[in-house]
Amino acid sequence: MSLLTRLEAIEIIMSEINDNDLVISTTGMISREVFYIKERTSNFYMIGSMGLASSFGLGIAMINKSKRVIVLDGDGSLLMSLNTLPLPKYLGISNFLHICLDNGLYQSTGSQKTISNSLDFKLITKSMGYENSYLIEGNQDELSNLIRSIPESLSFVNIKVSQDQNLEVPRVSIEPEIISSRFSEHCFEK
Amino acid sequence: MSPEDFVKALKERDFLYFSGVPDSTFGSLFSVLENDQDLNYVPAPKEDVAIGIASGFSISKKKSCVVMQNSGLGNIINAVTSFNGIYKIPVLIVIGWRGYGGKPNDAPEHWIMGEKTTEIIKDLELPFTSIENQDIENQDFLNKLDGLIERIYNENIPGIILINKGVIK
Repeated sequence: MSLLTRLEAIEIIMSEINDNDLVISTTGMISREVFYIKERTSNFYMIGSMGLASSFGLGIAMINKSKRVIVLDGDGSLLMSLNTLPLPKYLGISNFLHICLDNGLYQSTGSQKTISNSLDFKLITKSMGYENSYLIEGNQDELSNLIRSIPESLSFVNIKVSQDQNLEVPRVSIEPEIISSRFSEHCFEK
Repeated sequence: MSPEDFVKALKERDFLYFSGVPDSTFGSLFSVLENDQDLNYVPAPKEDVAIGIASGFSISKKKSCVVMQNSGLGNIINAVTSFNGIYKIPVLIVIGWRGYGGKPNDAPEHWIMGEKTTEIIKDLELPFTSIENQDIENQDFLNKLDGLIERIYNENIPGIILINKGVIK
């Protein structure tokens, strides 16, 4: 079975999630593709600060308990922040869906290899306390069904995606300061 | 100043959300943060993770504070520059000054950073103040704290308060 491209996987995720979900996307191509596929004010495109999407999302999830926080990481940024993985369980966070788009590459910097192929993110997150951990390799329907029906508890999905890249995807054209201020308006619980 | 008084000063200024990595400079401050029922404290595995979590609090409209030691200063530079600085996300960062002034103060691993700490912080061009024992004696601490907090929230950027050994005990 051939793997989904990252863009296809992001398209499926963004069409299956709920309107009031808060989405934090990691630096590089992942934020660009989320912006290209489905720009929304409750998306936080984290350009720069690689590895910080999960801890930032966790702080948001702690305060905004009635909303689901979805973190879209890459395998490189997930490897950079393995130390954050035990925290959601420790803090008793359930409104947290952590997704890794795993192509085995640092594609945004010129497709250097990561070490993700020699480890198992599903096992790692399971042992770090995620209640549900999934691995998706390929099938479009499988990913759609999973995202649509994923339990409302601490969950992780590793999606193996192809190394194809759509070069037409533009940079995120919104000023970081604006990304912040409009996103903040979605965090209502004072 | 006792850790309780320090926390009280922050609580009175609406800081209820904390993260950090421990430092002996602050005595029992971390257990006060952990045990105070009004506060949320997240023990972070590394200083940049603490900044990430505190930034999540900030964007959710909660005042947030990171407590750490200067040996972790290098670990937060990418976060405060490429994230908080450009996204305008304020965080109060309280840093304990190990190796104050450099050799021979404190243990060898703190000498170089102890000497360089203020230069590095000043290079970041963030709101910054330092607290020494005389600031407690002449009651300047709260003025400095209020001045720093005002700048942090006027400019929506992180600000650093550097605290010398013996100030909180």
